[in-house]
Amino acid sequence: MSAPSQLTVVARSQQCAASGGCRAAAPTVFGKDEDGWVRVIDPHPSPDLLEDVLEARDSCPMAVIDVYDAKGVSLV
Amino acid sequence: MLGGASDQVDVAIVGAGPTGLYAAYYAGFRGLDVAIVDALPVVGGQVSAMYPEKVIADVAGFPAVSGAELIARLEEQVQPFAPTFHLGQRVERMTSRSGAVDGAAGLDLHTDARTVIGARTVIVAGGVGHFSPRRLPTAAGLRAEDVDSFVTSLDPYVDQDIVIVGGGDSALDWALMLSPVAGSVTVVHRRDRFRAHAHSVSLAQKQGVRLLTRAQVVGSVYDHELEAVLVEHADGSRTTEPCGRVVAALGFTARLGPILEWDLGIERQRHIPVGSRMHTNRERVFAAGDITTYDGKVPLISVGFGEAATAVSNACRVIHPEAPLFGGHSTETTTPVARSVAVGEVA
Repeated sequence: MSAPSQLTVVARSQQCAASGGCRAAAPTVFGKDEDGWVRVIDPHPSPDLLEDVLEARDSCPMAVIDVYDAKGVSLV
Repeated sequence: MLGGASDQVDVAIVGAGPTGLYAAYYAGFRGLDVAIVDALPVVGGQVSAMYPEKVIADVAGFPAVSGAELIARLEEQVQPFAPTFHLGQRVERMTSRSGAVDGAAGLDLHTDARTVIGARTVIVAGGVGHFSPRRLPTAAGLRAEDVDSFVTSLDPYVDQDIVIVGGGDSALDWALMLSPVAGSVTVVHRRDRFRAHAHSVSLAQKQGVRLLTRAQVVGSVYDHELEAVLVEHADGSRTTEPCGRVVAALGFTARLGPILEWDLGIERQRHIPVGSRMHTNRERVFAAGDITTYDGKVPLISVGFGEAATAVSNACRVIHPEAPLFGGHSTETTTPVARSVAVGEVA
């Protein structure tokens, strides 16, 4: 199974509920602003972090995180 | 197609989550006819999409209730009033009618399925937006009619070879549900660990469900009908798995989308400001539930229920200005109640 060569992480912060699940799963990729809403610190994390980033996405109760490969295909 | 002044409903509700379903019930209780629209093909909104299996502990009267059971109860509660459901449709536009021509002032909701729903009033119970299922890559070549994002009935799966893609609770719960009736069930999961409860995973194995981890569906084999899917494994090898139907349990994305364009004065791109009658800045348009904001707002299902009753009562005054704001207690009326609830009361 080929690993993606580049990742792009998008989070719709205006719909964030500040659960913090993403920060717990991938702390170098997701942070928060002063109000606690999600902020993507590293929008193109190393492909080594794929598992963590997908875990962060799947742990979001508001479904506001998407992860794309280099071709812009949403990873599933 | 609905639409036009002559067949407009009293209340059109946008969103069939807990708040929207309860608003539909309460509007029925007040004698109003109701249409309810949701982008998902099932009712329950965020609860059905994100946490049907989770236990909710802060709904009054239910010390512990699963998301799925709460939704089933709400569906049962509204059922005697038979609202018109428009599921799997997203409302794209909301236009106002002055009633200058025919005297029937109201609004038209235009959906992406080209349905126009005419309504005297609208209650927006849109939660955090519309949920869309994540889809398998188009490169897999699967036809849309062969892929489900929800399992709502066992019938399409009887004696079929089923491939479920995903590793969360829904994927494993559906595997457990389908394996007794399906020809075979195979779960294909990209990662090496499941998010689903370990208990579900071991139960699935005991029931003969095949679990393929670090694997992806990358292609499909058709001979008129779907015959098999191609699965690529971590070592680059590919196998052909017999498959007549795919369930894509890949999670959802949520977006507010078109509601942002409805001139409702949306704040911070997520909330509709409302007053104490749950009225918005647009005439005949009310809102309830997580999508609303006001000083002191708390985004809970239980709060959404109260807001729904307030919104419906005030919408009722718009439709029937002579009607009282408060429609009386349900204990004092002959309004129908769902059969099993009535039986439960007797028991």
